[in-house]
Amino acid sequence: MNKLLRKYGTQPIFYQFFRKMKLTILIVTVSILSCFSAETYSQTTKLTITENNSTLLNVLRTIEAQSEFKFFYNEKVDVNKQVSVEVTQKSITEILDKVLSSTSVKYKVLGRQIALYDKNEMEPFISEQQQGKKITGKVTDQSGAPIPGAAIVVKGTTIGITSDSDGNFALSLPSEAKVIVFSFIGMKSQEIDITGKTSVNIIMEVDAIGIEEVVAVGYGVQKKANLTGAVATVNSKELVAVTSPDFSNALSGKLPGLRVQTLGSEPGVYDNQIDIRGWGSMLVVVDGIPRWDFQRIDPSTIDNVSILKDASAAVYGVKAANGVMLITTKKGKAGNNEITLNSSFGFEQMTDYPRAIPNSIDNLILKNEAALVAGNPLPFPDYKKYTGEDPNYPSVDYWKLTVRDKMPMSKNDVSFSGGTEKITYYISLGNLHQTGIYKTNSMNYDRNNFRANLSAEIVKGLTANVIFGGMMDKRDDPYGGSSYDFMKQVWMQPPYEPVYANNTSPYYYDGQADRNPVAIINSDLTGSRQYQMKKFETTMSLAYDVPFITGLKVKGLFAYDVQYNIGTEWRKAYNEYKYDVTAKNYIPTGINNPTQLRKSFDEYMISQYQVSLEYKKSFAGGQHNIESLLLVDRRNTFGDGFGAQRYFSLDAISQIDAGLTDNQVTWGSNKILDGNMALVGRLNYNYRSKYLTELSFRYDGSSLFPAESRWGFFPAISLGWRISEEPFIKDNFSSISNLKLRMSHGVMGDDSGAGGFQYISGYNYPSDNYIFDGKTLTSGSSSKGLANPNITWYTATTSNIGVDGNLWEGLLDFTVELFQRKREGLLSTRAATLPSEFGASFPQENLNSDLSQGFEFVVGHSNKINEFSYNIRTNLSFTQQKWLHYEQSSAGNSYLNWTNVNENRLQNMIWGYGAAGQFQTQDEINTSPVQNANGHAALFPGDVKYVDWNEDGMIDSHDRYPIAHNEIPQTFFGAEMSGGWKGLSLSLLFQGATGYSQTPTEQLMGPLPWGRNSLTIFLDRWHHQDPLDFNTPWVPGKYPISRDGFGFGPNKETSTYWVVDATYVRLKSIELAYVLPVNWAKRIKAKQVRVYTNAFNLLTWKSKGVLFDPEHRGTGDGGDNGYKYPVMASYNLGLSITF
Amino acid sequence: MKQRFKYICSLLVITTLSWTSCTKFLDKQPVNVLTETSILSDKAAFTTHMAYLYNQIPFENFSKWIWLSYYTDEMVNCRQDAGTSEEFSFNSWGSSYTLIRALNNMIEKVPSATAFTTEKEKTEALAELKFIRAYVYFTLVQRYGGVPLITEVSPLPASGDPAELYKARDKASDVFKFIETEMESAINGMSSETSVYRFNKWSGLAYKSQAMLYAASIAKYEEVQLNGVIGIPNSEANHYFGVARDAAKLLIETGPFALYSQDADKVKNYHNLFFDKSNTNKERILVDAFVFPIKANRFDLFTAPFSHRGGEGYGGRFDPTYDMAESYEYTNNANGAIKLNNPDGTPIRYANPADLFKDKDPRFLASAIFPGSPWMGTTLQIYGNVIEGGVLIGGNGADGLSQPEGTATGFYLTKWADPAPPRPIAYSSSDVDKMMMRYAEVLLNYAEAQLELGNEPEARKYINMIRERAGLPAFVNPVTMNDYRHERKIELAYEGNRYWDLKRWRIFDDVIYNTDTYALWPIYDKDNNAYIFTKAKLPSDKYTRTFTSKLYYSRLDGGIIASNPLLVENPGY
Repeated sequence: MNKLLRKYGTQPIFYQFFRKMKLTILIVTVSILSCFSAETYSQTTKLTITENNSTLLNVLRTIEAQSEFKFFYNEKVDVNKQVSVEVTQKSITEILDKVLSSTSVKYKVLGRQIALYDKNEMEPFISEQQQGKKITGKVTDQSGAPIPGAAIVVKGTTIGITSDSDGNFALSLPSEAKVIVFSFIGMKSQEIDITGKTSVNIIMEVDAIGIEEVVAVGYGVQKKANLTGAVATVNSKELVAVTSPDFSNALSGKLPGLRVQTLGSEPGVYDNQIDIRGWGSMLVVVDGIPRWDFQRIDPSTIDNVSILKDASAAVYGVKAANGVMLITTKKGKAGNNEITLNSSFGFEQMTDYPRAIPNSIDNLILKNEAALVAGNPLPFPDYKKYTGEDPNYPSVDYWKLTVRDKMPMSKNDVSFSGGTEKITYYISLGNLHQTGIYKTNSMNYDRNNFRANLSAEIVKGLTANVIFGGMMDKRDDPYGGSSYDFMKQVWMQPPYEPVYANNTSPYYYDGQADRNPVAIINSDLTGSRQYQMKKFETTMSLAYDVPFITGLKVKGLFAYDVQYNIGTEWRKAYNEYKYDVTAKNYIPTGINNPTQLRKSFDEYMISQYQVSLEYKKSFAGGQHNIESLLLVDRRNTFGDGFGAQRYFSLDAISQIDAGLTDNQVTWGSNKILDGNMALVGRLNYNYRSKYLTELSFRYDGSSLFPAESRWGFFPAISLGWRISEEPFIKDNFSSISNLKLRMSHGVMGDDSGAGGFQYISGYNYPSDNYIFDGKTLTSGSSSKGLANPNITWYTATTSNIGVDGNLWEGLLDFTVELFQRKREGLLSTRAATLPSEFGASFPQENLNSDLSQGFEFVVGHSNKINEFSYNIRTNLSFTQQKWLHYEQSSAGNSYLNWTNVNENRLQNMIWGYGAAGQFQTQDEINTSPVQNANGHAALFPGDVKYVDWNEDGMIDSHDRYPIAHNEIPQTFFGAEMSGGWKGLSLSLLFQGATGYSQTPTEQLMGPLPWGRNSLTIFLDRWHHQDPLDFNTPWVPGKYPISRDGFGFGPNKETSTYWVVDATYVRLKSIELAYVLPVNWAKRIKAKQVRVYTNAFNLLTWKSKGVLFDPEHRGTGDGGDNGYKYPVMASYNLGLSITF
Repeated sequence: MKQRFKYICSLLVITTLSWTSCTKFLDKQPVNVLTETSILSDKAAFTTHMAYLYNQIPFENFSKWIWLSYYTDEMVNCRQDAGTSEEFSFNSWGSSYTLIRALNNMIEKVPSATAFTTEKEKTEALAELKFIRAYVYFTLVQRYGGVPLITEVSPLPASGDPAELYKARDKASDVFKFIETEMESAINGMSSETSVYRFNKWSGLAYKSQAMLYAASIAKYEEVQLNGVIGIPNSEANHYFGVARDAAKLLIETGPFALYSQDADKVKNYHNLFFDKSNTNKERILVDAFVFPIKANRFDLFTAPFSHRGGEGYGGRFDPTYDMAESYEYTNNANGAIKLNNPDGTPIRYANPADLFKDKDPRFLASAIFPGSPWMGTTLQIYGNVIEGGVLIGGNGADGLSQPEGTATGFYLTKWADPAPPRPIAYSSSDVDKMMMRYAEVLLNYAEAQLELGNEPEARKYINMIRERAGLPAFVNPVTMNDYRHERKIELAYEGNRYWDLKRWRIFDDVIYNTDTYALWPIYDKDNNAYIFTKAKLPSDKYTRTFTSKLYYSRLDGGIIASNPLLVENPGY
C-alpha cells in the first residue's frame, strides 16, 4: 500500500490520467458495458469504517486494508487533514462523499483505482479531443481472454483511456507520443514503443511480485503480501495445457514441493503418486471440504490450487500431517455473462515400454541356447523353418496384432458464467473420452463432470452460496485380462505358436501362455469388466455480515457428498483349442467356465458442517490490522458395500437376477464409520503489512481413538517480516521490490493407519470360517486382540523458514524454503517384549519417530521486449527422510544389526550387491571370489560379477550394502517457460526428478519365463558367435547368456547391475496457442476464439539402462513387476470459443 | 459498546455450544464386532467363535500338509527346488499360542456361559475345547519338543514388566502326559455323535492313538536331550504304546467305522475312497470339508498334467518320485522294481507305455499317472527325448518332461485329483475333502502299537486287512517292523503322515541324506512307435536333498527366544 501511495503520489501519472477522462464517459462505460467486472467492484463492495478524529491518510489506509481499492494522489492533496467518519456497509462513493465533504479534495473511481485531486486542479479526465494520430488495439491476458478496464496512458503525459469490455481501446495521441503504458491491477505494467504503429495488441501478464494476489489458505483467503506460511499456489491462468484426463498431471512441476509421479496411464485408473514434500498422501480440500478423487475434477473448472506445506496446515489438525491441498473452483462474476465452449481432440502414444521378441527364429535361438546351457538336447533343431511362411511353422508378432499405436481421446466442455449484482452463477458441463491400447477397442473410459456454483445475496449482508458438483465415470475393460494380465501374456506368448488352432478363426489356440493374448482382449468372447463411479458433492453456506459490529461475519456451512462405486464383472466362459491333425478335430480347453457375474455396490457418504465467526478490523489508520476466526467443524464419514456373484447357464443376459441360485456367493465390504470434530481458531495481526504474525490452533477429536485420548490440541505460529518495507531498504535499494522473511512452526497430527476401533475389545465378525456340516460355511469370529486404550494420533512438528524476493520489478523473483518435519508417535508394535506364549501381542503404540528435511526454491524471471513477453520459472524441491526411532528387536548378530536396524538411517534405501560388471572370461570366473552356493560351476562369461564387499572370499548375504535410493525420488524439479507475441503464446514445462532408481523384475531380469517368449532386450546377450555352437568364440552382450525360465538365480540378485539410477528430465507439456484477431472472432459473434495444440511427455531424457518410462516404478512399490500399463505421451488439438 | 460485547459473547456461546453439545458424536460403535457377552450367551454367536477356533487348528490340510511330502522321498515340485529342509520351519509357535489363549479363555468362561440349553451341551462344548487344546499342544511338541504349558489366560502384567510372563519349556514327557490326561477326560465328555467334521468321542480316540503312538516312538527311538525338554525316557515307551493301542482298540471295537470297499475294482475303490463324501464312506473319521465355491482348493489345478491344465496355468506341482513308484509292490511280486531293461541290458521297447506298470499295487495306479496313462479322454504323452531316424533329439511330450510346467519325474499325483472334474480346472475349482484322519490309519496305529508291544499276530491281522482292501496278498509269515513301515508308507502315501513317521522313528536322516531324486525318463522311439524308459537323475542343484539331525525339531526362531529368555533353543541351531 505504502509503496503504491508513494510511487504514484510523487509521479502523478494516474492523477493526470484521470484528469483527462470525462466523468460521463466513465459512467457510460460502467453502465452500458456491464462486463466490467472491475467496475462492479466499486458498487458491490460495502465497507464499514469507524475513524474518529483521524487523518485522511488513515482513512485511506483503512479502506485499502479492508478492500482491494488503491488510492492515487499528488502532493496537492492534503492527506493529513483531520477527518471523522463512521459508516456501516456503505459503498465507496458514499464513504468518500462523506469523508471528503469537508475538504477540497475530489475523487474519481476507476475500477479498483481511485484518484484524488484538488478541486482547484483540472479534473483527471482524459481528453477525447487530442490532436494527432490514433492508436487502437486490444488488451488480453496470457490465455487470450480480454481484459476490460486496463489503463492505457501515454507515457509522461496525462493522456489515457481504459479498455472496453472486449479489451479493446482506441486512444488519440498527441503528436509527440512515443511510448504508452499499459497497466492493470495484479498485472505487470508494460511500456510499448508505438513509433510508427497504429495498432498494438498487448498481452498482460500476472505480476510475478503478486503481492496483491489473494491466496487460499485454511478456512479462508489471505493476501499474498501478508502470507507467512509456506504456501504454493497456481491459478487457472497458469494451468494451461490441461487436456490431460488426470488433473494432477496439470500440476506436475508447477508447484514447488508438490510431487507428482505418473506410474501408469491406464484410462480411468488415475495412477499418479502425489504428495507434498515426500510426506505421504495429503489432505485434499475442495471448496472448503475434505474430498477425495480430486484427480477426476474437470481441470477447466478449477480457479486455483494452493498447497499448504508447513504449519499453515495446522488448522486442519489431525489429518494435516502430510500437508494440505486446497482446490477452489470457479465462480461467476457479476455482469460478465459468458458462454465458453472448449473442445480438444488428440491421441496418446506409449512412452518407453519393453517389447517381446516379435519373431520365432530369434526366440527359438534363445530357447535352443538355453537347452545347450542346461546340457539338454535342442528342443527345436528345425528352428530355421519358423519363418511364418509355412502355417506349420508360425512366426507371430503378438504385440503388433493386439496393441495399437495411437489411442484417441477427446475432451469437450461448456461453461456458462455471469450474474447480476445479487446473483452470480458458474455452470460447467464436461465430457472426457479415452481409449486403451487394445486393437479390439475394448478398453474405454468416459467421464462426465458437472458443476454449478451459485451465489446470491438474499438480503443485505446475507449471502448464500451453493456448490453442486458431480463426477460420473465409467471404465470398461475386457474380462479376459486386466492390463496387468495382458502385458504379462503379450510379453510371454511364444511367437512360434499360432493365434488360431489349425490357423482357423475363431478357434483361439491354446498355447503355453496362461491365456491367448489375442483372445483376452476380445470382450465379445471373454466378457467385460465395468467400473462406474457416481459422485455428487453439495456444499451450501450462508454468510452474514453482522450489521452493527463492523467487520464481524457469521458463516454456516453444510456439505453432503455421496459416492457410489458400481462394479460389474461379466466373465464369459470360452474355449481355447488345440487341433488334432489325425482326428481332424479341435480339442477345447474351457476357460472361465461357468459364466459368472460379479456385481458390487459400494456407497460412501460424508457430511460436514461448519459454523464460524470471522472478525476483521484495522486500527490507527490501518497501521494495525487484525483478522480472526473461530470455527466449529464436524465431519461424519460412512461407508458400506456389498457384492454378489452368480453363475450363469447362458451368457446372453448379464443381469444378476438371471443367474443361477446354486453356488451363489455374497459378501460385504467397505465398512467405514468415522467422525471428526474440531474447534479451530486463528488470529492474524500485522503492522502496516510489515510485521506479520499468525497464531492458530485446532482442538481436534477423532473417533478412531478412545474418549480419553481422542482430543488433541494443534497450535501453530508463523511470523513474517517484509524487509523491503523498511526505510533502509526502500531508500537505498530501489531495485528490491519485495523482500520478505518468514518462519513458521506448528504441530499437526494424523490418525490414518490407526485401524478402527482398536480401543474396543470384542470379536471381529465375520473373519475366518469353517465347514461344520460338510455343506455350508460357518463364519468365524476372532478376537480383536488386547484392547488398546492408549492409542492416539501421531504428531508432526513442522518448521519452515522462507525468503521471498522480487528484484528489478520482476526481472528476478525467488522463493527459498527450508523445512523439516519431525513425526513422533508413529504407530508401531512394541518389539519382542511379550513372550510369544502369551498368545497376544501388544497393541499398536505411538512409538516410532522420523525426521524429514529438505528445501525448495523457485527462481523466476519475466520480461517483455517490445511485443514479446516471456516468463521463466524454475523450481526444485529436495526431501530426505530418516528414522529417529524405529521399534524393532535386535537381530542375532552385529552384522544383522547393522543391516536391519533402521534407527537413525535414511529411509527409502535399497540394499543389494555391488556388481563389477559381467565376467569376461572363464578365467576371470575361476579367479574371482566364490559367487554363490554352487561355486563357479554354473557360471558363464557374461554372468554378473559381484563384489566381495566384506572380502571374505565368497559372495553371500553379508556382502550386501545400501546401493541406491529406491523408486521414490529425492529431488523433483520443474521449469516453466512461457512467451507471448501478439495473439500467439507458447508455454513449455520441463519436469524431472533425481535421487531414485528403477529396478526391473521377473520377465525383465530373465529371458524365457516358463520357457516362453523373451523381451527383445535379451537378444543383446553374451552368446557364442554361432549361438548353438559352443566351440565358437564368445560375443559380449549387455545381458548374460540365455537360460530357461526366469533367468539364472544368482544373476538376479538385487545389485547395481539391475538397479539403475532413473534420473530424468522431460518436456512434460508444451502448448502453442493463437488467439484469433478480434474482428475475425466477431464474424461468429464470439468474444474470443483461441486455437491451441499441446503435447504431454513429448521428449524425455533419461539415464541409460532405464527400461521403462522413468516415472514407471519398475518393480518398486506400485510397479506391478513391470506389468503396469504403460505411461503415455499425448498430442492434442483444441479450440476454445467464448461468447 | 456493551451491546456489542453481549452480541459477540452470545455468538461465541452459540458457536461453542454447538461444539460441546455433540462431542458424544465421536462415540461410534463398530458394525462388525461381536462382544464376548454375546459369544457366551448366544449359541449361534458361540458357534461362530468355534468356527474360528477350528479354522486356526494347525491341521496339515490342503494348504499345508501336501508340502510336507516334498521333504520326504515321496514327491517333488516341478517348479520348485527340492527343499533341503535346512531352512524349513513350521513357524507355528506364535499362532498356536494365540489359539491356545483363545481356547484357555473359552475353557475358563464356558462353565458360566448361558449359550447352552442343557448341561450336556455345555459339558460337550467344554470337552471339545479341551480336546482342541490338547491337540494343539501335540502339534507343538511334535514340531518343537517340550513347550511351556499355558492353561490360563494371563493378563498383561500390571507392572508392565514382561518378565513376569516368562516361562521355561516344560519337559516333553510332561507335555505328553498333559496331552494324555486332557484327551482322556475330553473323550469322556465329548459327544458320541458321528459327525466327521469336528472333534467328538471317535475322532478323539483316533487322534489319541496318533498322539500316544508318537509319544511312544519318541520314548523308544530318541535320546533324551536338554534335560528332558526333548525326548521321553525310554521306560515310558510301553506305557504309551499301551495307551495308543487301547485308544485305537476302543475305536475299532465300538466305533461305527469300516475300511472303504464299495467297488470291486481295487483301483477305483482306493481312488474313490477320497472322493466319496457320503455317509456310507465309513472310513472317514475327521474331515476338513471343501464345498465349491464357498471354500474350494486348488488341488486339480496343481496336479493337472500339462496338456490338461486349465486356463490359469500351473499343473505338475506334485510329482511322485521314481523311488516312490518302485516302492509300490506288484500284486504278483513284492519287489516293486520297474522293469526298464531286458536281461541282456538292452532297453525294453514298450508299444504301450502303460504296460510298464501292469500288475502294480492298485493303490499306485489310483494315486499316480504316468506315460501312457489314460486321463480325461486322452493318453498322456510324457517323454523327454525322441528317437528319429535312429538319432536321439530333444523332444517335448504334450504332458512332459521338458514342458515348463509338466512333470519333472514322469509321474503326476492323482490321489486327490478328479479325473472328471465337475467344472473346468481353475485356481479354486476343486472341492475334494481332505481326510485329516481315516480308519486305515487307526488300524495301522493299532497294528504298530501291538507290534511294538510284541503282539505280532494281532498286528499282522490288521496289516492284512489293509493289504486285502488294497488288493495285495496278505502277509502269511510274521511281519517285521520294516514290513509294517513299508505298508504304512504305501497306504498313507502323500497324506503327510510319512514326514512325521520318519521323524518319530528317527530314520529321516537315513532316508534323506544327500539323496538324489530320479525320474522315469521315457524316450519316444518314433521309428518303432514305441517307448523305452530310463531312470534319470534329476539335476542335483535342484533336487538333491538332505536331512540333518537337528531338523528333527524346528528352530525356535530369534524372536521367540528374544521374547522369553527362559526358553532354550533346540540342539544344533
